[in-house]
Amino acid sequence: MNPTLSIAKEFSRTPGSRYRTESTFSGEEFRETCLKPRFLQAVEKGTKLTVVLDGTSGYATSFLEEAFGGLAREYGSEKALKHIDIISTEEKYLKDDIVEYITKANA
Amino acid sequence: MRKILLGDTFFHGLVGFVLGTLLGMLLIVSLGMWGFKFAPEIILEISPLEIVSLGITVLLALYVTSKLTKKTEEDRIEKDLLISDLKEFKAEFVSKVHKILHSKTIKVVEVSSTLKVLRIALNTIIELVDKHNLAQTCAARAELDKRIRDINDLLTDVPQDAHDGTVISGGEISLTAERKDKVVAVLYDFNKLVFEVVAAVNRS
Repeated sequence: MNPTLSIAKEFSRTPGSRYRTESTFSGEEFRETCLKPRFLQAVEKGTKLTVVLDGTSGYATSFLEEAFGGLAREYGSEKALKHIDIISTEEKYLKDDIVEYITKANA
Repeated sequence: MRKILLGDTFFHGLVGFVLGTLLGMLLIVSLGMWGFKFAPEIILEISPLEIVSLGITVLLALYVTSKLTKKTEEDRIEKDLLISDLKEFKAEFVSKVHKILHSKTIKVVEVSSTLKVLRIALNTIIELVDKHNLAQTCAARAELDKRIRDINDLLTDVPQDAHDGTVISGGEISLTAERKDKVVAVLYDFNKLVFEVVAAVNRS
């Protein structure tokens, strides 16, 4: 079974903006403290990290772009897409949005 | 409802029958006045089979008419409900976005929360439109969600290479006049798209 990372349970129910300097619970903070370490573990084990988006009050575009686009800028879009899976039952369209941020990050 | 529809159909059939008979009699009288002559006796020979056949035909006609009327009525109700949902959603969406634009402080978390609820609501309506095979060929249907996403971007995103003066500090975003104008422009476009979808649902 793939490892799972729930943003609401393991980070915050009220995600903020892009950078730490802009707000609390920023995309930058999420990427550095939660997403990146778990992503690297998944890469090491050759598995996929399943990120669950449900349970929060909503996401700013800046938060998602900085978290997932930022990861792709550091490790490449291909690698990010290969080792990350997105689950969102509340907002199904967010998966497409995030794939777009990851794909465009290297463009 | 069903009884009323069936009753209506029967009543219309009866009126049609009476009118048809009267018109037929009028036609015979008119033709007589123009010099046409009819045989003084009409011989009626109807076999029991023909009576049964006639009865079945009349019953079938009434049944098919009532079924078709019911289906048309149900389709109309579904369309009216969806159109009403779309109009209510549009009013709420426009009102909430204007409220955000005119508030002194715009908290990113609050805006994200409001837009999450609105985007889910819109997608639920669109799912219903698709489920009932209404407006599936209407391109505006898919564009609606993109407009909400555009507004979400304009209200909650400051790109890394942003140079338009928009800043976020303390979790609050300060929008430039240019950004606010862009939001209003997207709202106009959104209104137009809702109109197109409503028209497509109505036509389908």
